[in-house]
Amino acid sequence: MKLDSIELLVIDDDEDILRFVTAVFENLVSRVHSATSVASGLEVAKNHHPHLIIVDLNMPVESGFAFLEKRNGIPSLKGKPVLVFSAIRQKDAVVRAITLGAADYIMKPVNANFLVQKVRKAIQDRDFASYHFPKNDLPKAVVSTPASIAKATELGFLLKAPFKLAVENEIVIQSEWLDSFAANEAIMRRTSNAALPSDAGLFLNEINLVGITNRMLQLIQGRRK
Amino acid sequence: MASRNPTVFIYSEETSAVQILRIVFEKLGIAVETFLSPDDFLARLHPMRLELALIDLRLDSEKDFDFIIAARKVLGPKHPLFILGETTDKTIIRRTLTAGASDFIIKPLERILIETKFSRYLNSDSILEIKKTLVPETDGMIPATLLVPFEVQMVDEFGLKLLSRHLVTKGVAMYLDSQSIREITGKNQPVLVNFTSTWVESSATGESLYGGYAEFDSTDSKLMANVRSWLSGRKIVSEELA
Repeated sequence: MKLDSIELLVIDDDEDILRFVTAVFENLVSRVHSATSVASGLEVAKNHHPHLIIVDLNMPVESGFAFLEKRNGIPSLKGKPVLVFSAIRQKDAVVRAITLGAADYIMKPVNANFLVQKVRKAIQDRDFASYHFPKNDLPKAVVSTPASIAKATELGFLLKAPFKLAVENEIVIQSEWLDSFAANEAIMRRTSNAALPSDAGLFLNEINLVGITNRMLQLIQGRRK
Repeated sequence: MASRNPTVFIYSEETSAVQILRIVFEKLGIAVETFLSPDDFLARLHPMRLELALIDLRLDSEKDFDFIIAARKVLGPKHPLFILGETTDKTIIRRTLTAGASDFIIKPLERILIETKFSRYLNSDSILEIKKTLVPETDGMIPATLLVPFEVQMVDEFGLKLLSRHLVTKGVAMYLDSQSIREITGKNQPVLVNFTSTWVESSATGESLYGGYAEFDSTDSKLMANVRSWLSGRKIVSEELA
């Protein structure tokens, strides 16, 4: 999993640590959010849904343990990996953090490469949320992409596009040029002739104009003169 | 191309229409066999006897569409089968195509259309071979926008799995839009996606389908957060149960 689509949240009352972690990750991940307390960290997490959270265990007012306990009660945050770091060198602190759901424990002072490796591993080990739509009720969507028209005649034209269009399927094209001879009144249909690969991953698709009206023909013939 | 004169089979209920069509085609050096009865037409119809079939129909009853289906069944999938009709109703025209028509000509049948459309089917196999064009390929391209329908199979935190009959080129950024997409992304406009992978998808109906994974623009952190928020609000359905 590449990190460049990942968003992190770092929670630490020490602003030097926040600046350090931000500097380490700012060119590696999509975005680094930061917060200086458990309360503000929870707000940021609920609003921005980061993929991974790093929290310092040793903070005034509320500790990192409190963050782990509170986030376990918030469904949208519960499954997100949390790395804890701290200067506390006690085994029971580690056990307590892991028991509360921390994915990993990192001792301060933190080495940048080590931190990146830990984050990368936590992301790799994570199951990202996904939703599969019911097979008999898939929502529709439309992709729009620039294309070009070449070699047009009364029969149809070649369409250069980043698609190999399905044979004998109706297609929808928006074009002022086609509108100028009312071609939008015809049905545009991919012919059965093979789509030829063109430059840079594009295809030349042959498009037939079905149901040409005489008005269209006159406009086309007028244009040809 | 056949070594003999190409032959066109023509059916029409109207004697006058058949006669006019015969005259026009024969003047162009195209041999014609004409029929006034659908049964006679179908009885004589055979892919080895003709290069093209032209059927003139009113398209006001189901039997007309049944006739098209029967003709296509005899001709096989490749033979050109033109339907001639007065309607400009796209729904009806689409029905003729679904029934097996290769093309639809709106009456009256102009000579220019015979010289171009029919000549194309009779004399060459592809637009690529046609010399006289409105936009020569070498003169540059006319810009257009292609709209391609997809179905959304799955959404995850980074993108969507989409299905289509059309194969998209990998690595191309495009705009994706629908009411569902706007709900997922929280945006009131089309969203930019990049197809990072494509594959052939198996279909229960045997139809060719292609899958593609379209990644969201990860630099749009608001959009990415909206997607994660939308996912966290869904009851997660595993692939097996979907």
